[in-house]
Amino acid sequence: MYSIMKAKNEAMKDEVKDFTQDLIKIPSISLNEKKAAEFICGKMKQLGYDETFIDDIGNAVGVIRGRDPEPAIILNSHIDTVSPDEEKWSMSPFRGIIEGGKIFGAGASDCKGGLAAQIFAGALLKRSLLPMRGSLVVAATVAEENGCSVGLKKLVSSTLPSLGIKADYAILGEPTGNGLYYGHDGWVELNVHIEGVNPFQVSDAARTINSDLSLVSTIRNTIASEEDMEIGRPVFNDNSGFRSADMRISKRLRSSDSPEGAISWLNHEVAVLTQNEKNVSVEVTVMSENQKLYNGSRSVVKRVTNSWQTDPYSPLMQRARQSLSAAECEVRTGKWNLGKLGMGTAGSVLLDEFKIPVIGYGPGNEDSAHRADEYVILEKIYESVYGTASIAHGIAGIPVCGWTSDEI
Amino acid sequence: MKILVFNCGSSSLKYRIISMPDEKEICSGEAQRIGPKTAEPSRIIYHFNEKTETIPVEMRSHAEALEEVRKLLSKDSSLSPDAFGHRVVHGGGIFSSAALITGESLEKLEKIKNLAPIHNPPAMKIIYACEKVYPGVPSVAVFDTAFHSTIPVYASTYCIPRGITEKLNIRKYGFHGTSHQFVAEEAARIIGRPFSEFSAVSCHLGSGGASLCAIKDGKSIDNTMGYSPLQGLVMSTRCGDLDPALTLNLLQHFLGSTTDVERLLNTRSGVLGMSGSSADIRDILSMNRENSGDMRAQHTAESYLWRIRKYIGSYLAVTGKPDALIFTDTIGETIPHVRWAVCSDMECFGLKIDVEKNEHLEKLPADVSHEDSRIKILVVATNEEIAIARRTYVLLCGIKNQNGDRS
Amino acid sequence: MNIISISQNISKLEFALFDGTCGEPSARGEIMNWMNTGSDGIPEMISACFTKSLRNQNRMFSANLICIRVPYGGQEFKIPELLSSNSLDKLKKIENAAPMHIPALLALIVSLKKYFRGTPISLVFETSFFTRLPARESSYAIDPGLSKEISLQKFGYHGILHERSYEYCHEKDKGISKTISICLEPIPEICAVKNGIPVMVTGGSTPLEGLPGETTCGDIDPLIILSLSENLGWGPEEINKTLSRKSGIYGLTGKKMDFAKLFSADDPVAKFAKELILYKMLLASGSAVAALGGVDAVVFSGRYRELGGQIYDYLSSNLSCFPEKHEILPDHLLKLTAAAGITALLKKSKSH
Repeated sequence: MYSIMKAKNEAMKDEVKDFTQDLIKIPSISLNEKKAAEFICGKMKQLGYDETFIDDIGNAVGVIRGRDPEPAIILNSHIDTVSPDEEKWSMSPFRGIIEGGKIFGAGASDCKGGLAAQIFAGALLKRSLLPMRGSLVVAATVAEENGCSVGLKKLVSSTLPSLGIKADYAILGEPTGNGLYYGHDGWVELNVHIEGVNPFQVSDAARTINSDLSLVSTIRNTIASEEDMEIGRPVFNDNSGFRSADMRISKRLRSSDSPEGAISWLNHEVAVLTQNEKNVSVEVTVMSENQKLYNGSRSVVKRVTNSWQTDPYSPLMQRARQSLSAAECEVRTGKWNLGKLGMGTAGSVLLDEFKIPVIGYGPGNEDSAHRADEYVILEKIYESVYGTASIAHGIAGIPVCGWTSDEI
Repeated sequence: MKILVFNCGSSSLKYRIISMPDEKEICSGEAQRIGPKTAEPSRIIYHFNEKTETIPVEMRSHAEALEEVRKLLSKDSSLSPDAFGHRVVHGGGIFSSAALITGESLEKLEKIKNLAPIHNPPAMKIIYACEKVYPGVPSVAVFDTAFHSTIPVYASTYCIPRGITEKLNIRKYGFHGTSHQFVAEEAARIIGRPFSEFSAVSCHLGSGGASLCAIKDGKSIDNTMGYSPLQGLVMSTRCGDLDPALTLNLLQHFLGSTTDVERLLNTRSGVLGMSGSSADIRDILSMNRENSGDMRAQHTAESYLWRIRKYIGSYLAVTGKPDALIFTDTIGETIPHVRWAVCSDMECFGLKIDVEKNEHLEKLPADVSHEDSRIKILVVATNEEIAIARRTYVLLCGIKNQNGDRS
Repeated sequence: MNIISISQNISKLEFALFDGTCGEPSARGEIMNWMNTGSDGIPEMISACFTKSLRNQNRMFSANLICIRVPYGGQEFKIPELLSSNSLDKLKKIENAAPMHIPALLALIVSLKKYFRGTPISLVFETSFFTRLPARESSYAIDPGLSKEISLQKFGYHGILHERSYEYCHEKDKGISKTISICLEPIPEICAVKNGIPVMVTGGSTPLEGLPGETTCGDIDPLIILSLSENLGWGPEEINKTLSRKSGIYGLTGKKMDFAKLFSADDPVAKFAKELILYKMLLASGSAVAALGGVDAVVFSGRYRELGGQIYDYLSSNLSCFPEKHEILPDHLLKLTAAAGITALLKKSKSH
């Protein structure tokens, strides 16, 4: 089975490369994914997926039906990318330039490379003529980078049920360098709102909070040797007899932390710092924003990425490990570092909100994500196609045991 | 010499005091439901002087059970043991005969504990407890696998890569050895042939586990059980032979959970899994006799018998010209239908059962072969406790003589 | 009448061209690793091979019938059958039981139909003969309702040769009714046939069970598989790879060796492997005799059938009830496939 899959994968390389390149050429900054979604959907149709469509919220969905509805495995990657800071790029982020075995472009690593790998993993199973027991769903979802994964939420809560599919397991195509990742820390963006009638008191309070928290943050970041907090500058606003200041505080959430915990911690800190400023009021809230998706629907989203962790010895992880090892792929397990704040995956949405065991497996490089000259290594994408297909077959394929000897 | 024989299950402890060498049973009993409290209370059934008593008593561990047994036995001075014989299921590749318990042998036993994770550890607990409770009284471990240590390498080797079999000690160990050896020795005695020249096929058909053993010149040369007691015949809840791919598919079906597959194959398959109604082949056979019309029952019985018959054929082939075919244990001793079905139409092997004799069996041992049968068909009652006492006695006498010689 | 006979294996696709059912093939060939590339170009390759061979004989190539030997057909295919849309539906239904072979066969059929437009296709199944295996032999002692996706029925996988072997003996001597057929292929198989019906076979729900093969493990204790998983952390895929591609003779000797080589080798490791395999054959033969209640003929077939003499001597020295001499079936598999394919065609045309 694996030698056939390897041969078919080898033969598919150019298609995978072209698709990834084309996908990068279609800008899909968060909330503007329409064109890319249509392109993806068309590709899945061409690759022979049993069903392909764009759902109400704009996700591109492809389904390969097995003999049974169960188990269903969801391969999920987001279509959207962060907006690239073109000045910092040494080339155009939307041309999919290939150099030295790497494709460069906005979202190459995070996670158009992963999306390409997942889409072609389904195609590889089809071309290898391997029948499936359960269903395989490839879901290219919208509004992950901005929009706190409303696309994914809609997919699980309404699109999949409408297909008669209950998601049993999920694999994210986020950048893991083809390691098996089972979680990451989270982050929350908090807003400290300071208000008072005396503008000087408000300014003083804001500065005190800012300088004190900056110090705390420096200490914490040093101890953790990774970004733990980021303190924004206060933004002042004078309004008919009131002065207010807003300050954005980003904070890392470790696996035991919750956004509520972060709020109460910050509330306590600012209360201590402003205890002498009797005439100002301070309020800490989770930042939220009003977003309009490419298809016009609007929603208010909170700026939180929860930490999540799937049990590293759960059946999903075990079977993924075993399948990769049988397929003679490298087996490396770990978690995302999230070296920068403002990053994260939709894993917690699946795991905590919908109770779907989830892991990450994608060709991208975490360190390259959200940066200028973002890239993904082509060979990694090809390997990821094969690896993803092997895992999916291990979980939802019809076992080929007993039928794989050369001759009978 | 009074030998106290222990046969230890995961939640039970059977014991028997046998005086040697006359092989007379002095008392016996069984501690049941050892361990954490269950719906039914734990108790000891105690049989002595033709009286049976049931004594409810809490026993949270095998050590506590042993202590309770000791208390019962201490009531009568005639019940104080001179030696212990312990049934230990798995002797690994290390023990090819019964072994005196010493620091060294205990160390070896610890090493192979994992080969029989359900059976060996409780037996070892009893061995440790005996050392503590009865200091100075010798203990002997008698292994189910020991008799099979003579199985030739070509018969005990599985055709999987050598690196793996060597690393994990994977080979056919065979089980029920103590019983096979006991009934074969009895059969040799009945026929009047020295055991070292005696060849037979022995069918240990228990109500739970069952296996066949091929014996050539007094040595086991093959057993239907293998690396574990799961292989071979259709048993009460164990599947016996299975396509390796089937086990693999089940493993994938249960998302890699070996526990689920093991439980299914060990406790929910066999006669129970096939029939869907009972784990006891006697129930299934009587359903068929009553013409219940239960197709599954009929099918189960046929498959059960057919597998035995096929293995009899295999073992008659590998033993050359055997002297006897032996039936023993609950099913083998008490169900004439089973003996008849597996022996009928086997004249090509020189085997012919006497239907009359087989049906009207009065006492054991019995010869149920037709006078034309070249191979004797014998029904012999097994007695694992006496077998254990014998091994224990022989071993201890040997040691004594050796010491005597030296002094 | 030109008949293309095709035999499907994982590693290679073998094919031969027959002129009627007698005689040797007028051309033959094989395509290695055919499943790696897909079926599209295959009919063309077959046709090119035949055209070239025939040109050397100054003949033109044409095909009147295509016969495909299929390793598995489940209970659905009790006899060879002429391809129809109904057979395609039936194949689709059983693809889970032979997931490497049936989807590949379906793809092959599509390209054959496209290329050899209008040429009838006969499917000849190795398992058809075993659809009459009695339930007591064909079932396992596990809950029959366990899973509808896992096949719980035993078959044999050399039915074409076993069936022909019985007929061959019976044609020679009508008095023969109890036959032990020993098929010597990369996965050898022993089958007991009584009055033309199989009553015992070493194969299982897949070809992995039974006698050990060149790379396959044969019968093993189910607990070994669980032990491999627990001790080595392997999943079913990895274990399957080991049991089906790295075991058997290869696992015992560490060398890729076919049966012919094994039986002529004289290093101690190979000798041990041979001793082991002979012993397994003896066990199976004993079972076969018990299943039949005697034996009238012992017949060897398959590509290593010439080893039959050696094997027979060993078996009969232990089984005194064996007949005085053994038989060897001369026929080749591809020819038998062609013959069975024609029968299916004739049957169909008669019914119209």
